Amino acid sequence: MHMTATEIGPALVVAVGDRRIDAAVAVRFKDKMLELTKHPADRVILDLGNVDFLDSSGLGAVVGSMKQLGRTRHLDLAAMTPTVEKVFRITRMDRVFRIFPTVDAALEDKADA
Amino acid sequence: MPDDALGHGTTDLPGQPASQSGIVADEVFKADFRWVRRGVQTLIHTLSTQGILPGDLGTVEIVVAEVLNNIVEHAYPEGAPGEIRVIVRRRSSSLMVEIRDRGRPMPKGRAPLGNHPMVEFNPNDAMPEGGYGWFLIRELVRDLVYDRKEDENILFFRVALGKPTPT
Repeated sequence: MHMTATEIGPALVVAVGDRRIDAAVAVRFKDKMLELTKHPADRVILDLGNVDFLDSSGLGAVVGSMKQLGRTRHLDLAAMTPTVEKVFRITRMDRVFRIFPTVDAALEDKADA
Repeated sequence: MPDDALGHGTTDLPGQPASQSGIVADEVFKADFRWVRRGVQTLIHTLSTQGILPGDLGTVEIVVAEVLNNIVEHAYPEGAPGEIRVIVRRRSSSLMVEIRDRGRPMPKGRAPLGNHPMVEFNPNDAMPEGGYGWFLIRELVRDLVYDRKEDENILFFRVALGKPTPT
């Protein structure tokens, strides 16, 4: 699972390099998120721009990653591709997460998430 | 639209030989997550060469992946993955998908209803990390039929194709 974390201002941007977050890698995704978010940023932005496909296991792993951050830190999502967006919309998880069209839009969002 | 119906008297009923016309994909592969990933990617590539639109490809990819993941997790015992066969037929405005495996039958002989895992969600509970698979399947497909014939599970469903948008 290729993922990188970059500190940008007060946020930590985690970019997923893999094209799929599916049942084959969901556990590794969550473990990698745990490792990368040891960085103390209160706000984590998950850049999904490279991810073409996410299944319900991947969705569960994103939810799990949010829970791993605890109550005082936030996970926002950015740059979803159409099929990923469809999974979030149909499961109504688009109401649970703040979703931004691009990482820049997420970074420009001044409101405390 | 009789050729989209999965009702009685059509030739798309479980148990029919797979030599029916209109087959656009027919794949057999091993029931483990790695093979499921490859199998789904191959299937989507095949369908993309048949003029299926990207949005519809995404829908098929989601539902087929969910069904296959469930077969890997629940139908076959861990460490002894059997085979999965996926057959897709093209109709005028639908894809008819047939998925077969020789694992355990569905609980109570029925396909899950696929309620949203947060239907009975208490805000004090931790947010569920699973249970979205069958919800997605039920939301995205039509005419879902599950059948058990001898030692085989057969799942049939239809994915309605969107109309091409004029450019």
